[in-house]
Amino acid sequence: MTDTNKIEFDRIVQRYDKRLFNLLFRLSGDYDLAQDLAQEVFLIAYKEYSKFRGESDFFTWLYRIAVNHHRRYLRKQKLKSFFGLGERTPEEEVSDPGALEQMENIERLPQDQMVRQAVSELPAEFKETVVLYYFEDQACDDIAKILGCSPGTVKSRLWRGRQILAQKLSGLNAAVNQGGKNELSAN
Amino acid sequence: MNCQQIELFIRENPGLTLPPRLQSHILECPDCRALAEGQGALEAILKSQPRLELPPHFQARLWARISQAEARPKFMGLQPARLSLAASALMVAAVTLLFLRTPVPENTFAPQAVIQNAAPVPAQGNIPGIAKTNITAREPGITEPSRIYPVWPGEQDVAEIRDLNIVASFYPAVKSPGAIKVTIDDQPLASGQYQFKEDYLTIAPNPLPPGQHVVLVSLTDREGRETNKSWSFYLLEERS
Repeated sequence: MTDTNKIEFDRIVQRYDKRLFNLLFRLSGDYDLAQDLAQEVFLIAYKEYSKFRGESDFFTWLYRIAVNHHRRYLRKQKLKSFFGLGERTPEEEVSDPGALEQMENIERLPQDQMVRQAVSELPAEFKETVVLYYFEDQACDDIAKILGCSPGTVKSRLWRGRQILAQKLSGLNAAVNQGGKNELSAN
Repeated sequence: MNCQQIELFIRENPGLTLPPRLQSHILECPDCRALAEGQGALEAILKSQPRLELPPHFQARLWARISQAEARPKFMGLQPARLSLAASALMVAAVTLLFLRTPVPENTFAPQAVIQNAAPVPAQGNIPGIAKTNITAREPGITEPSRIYPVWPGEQDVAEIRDLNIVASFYPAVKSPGAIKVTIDDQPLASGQYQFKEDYLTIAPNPLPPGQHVVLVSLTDREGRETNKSWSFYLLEERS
C-alpha cells in the first residue's frame, strides 16, 4: 500500500473503528472477541483496499466484510465445539479488567443487560438484521446490500427478530409500557 | 380496515408511526393496540441501547498488527496461512507416495513368518549398506557459542510503557562472557541499564516513546566469537 493510501486508510479507521467494534460486540456479545474480530476486519480491509472500487459505500463494503468474518468465526466455533475444542469458560469471557469496567458502564440499567442477552440469543440471520437496523441505524436497502439479500427478506427477518425479542423481553416491555402509561397519567 | 392490515403495516414499516387511517382502528381494537404499543416500546428500547467506547490502544494495536502482517515474509507469493496448507498437502502426498511405493512382503503380519524371516542382528559397525563412521566426542572445554533468544517483548510484540522490562535468554548459558553490548534504536545503553546473568539478560532502558523500537544485543565470548540478535517491538502509550 502506498503512503497516500495508508494515510487514507488511517482516516477510515479513525472514522469507523467505534462503529465497527460496536457492531461486532452486538453480534458476538463478547467484548474481547469483538476487539479481535474488529482488528481482523480492518486487517482484511487493509489488504483488500486496492480492490475496493467505490461501487458501494465504503461503510457497506466494510460491514459486509465484518458480517462475513463473524459468520466465518461462528462456523469455526461450531467445528471446534463439535470436536470438543476451544470452548471458552465463563471466567474467560471478559479477561481485560478495562473491559469489565466498560461493560459495567454501559449496562447500568438491568434492561441493557437483558437486551444484550436477548439479542445475542437470536438466530444469526435475525441477529445480523436487528443489529444493523436498530444499533447501527442502517436502512433496509443498505442492510440488503450488506447481507446480500433482498429488502423484502430484510423486512421479514426484522419482523421475525422483533417477534422473538418481544417474547424474550415481554416482562421488560410490560414494565416500559407501564412506565409510559404512568408518565402519561401523571401528566 | 382489519387487523391484518395493521400487522402488515407494522411488519413492512418498522419504526414508522401508524397513519391516521389506521389509528382509528387501533382505538377500537385492543389486540392491535397491544401489538402496536408493544412494537413501539420494543423499538424504543433497542434504539436507546448505549454504545461502547473503543478498547484502549485499539488503533495502536491495529497498526502494530498491520505492520507485523506486512513484515511477514511471503514464500513464492503465498501468504503464511496458505503456505502451511500447501505444506500440509505436500506432506500428505509424500507420505501417501512413500506408502504406495514401499513393497509389503507377504505374511508380514503373521507371527511365524516374522520368526522364520528374521535375520541375525549384525554386529555394530557391520551393518550392510552403511559405511563405518568415526564418531569423535567433542573436545572437552570447547562449547558451542550461546544463542540469544528474546523473551519479552518478543519479536513484534506489543508492550506497554509501564511494564517495559526487556528480557532475553542465552542458550547454552554463557559461562565466560567476554563483552556484551546492548543498543536500543541504535543508541548504546550504559552498563548500569542492563543486568547480565549466565543464562539471561534484563534490560531497563530509559523511558522510550510510544512506537516501534529495535533492540540489538551483541555477545562476544572469551574465544572471541560474536553472536548478535536484533528484534523489534511496539510500545503503547500509557493508559490514562
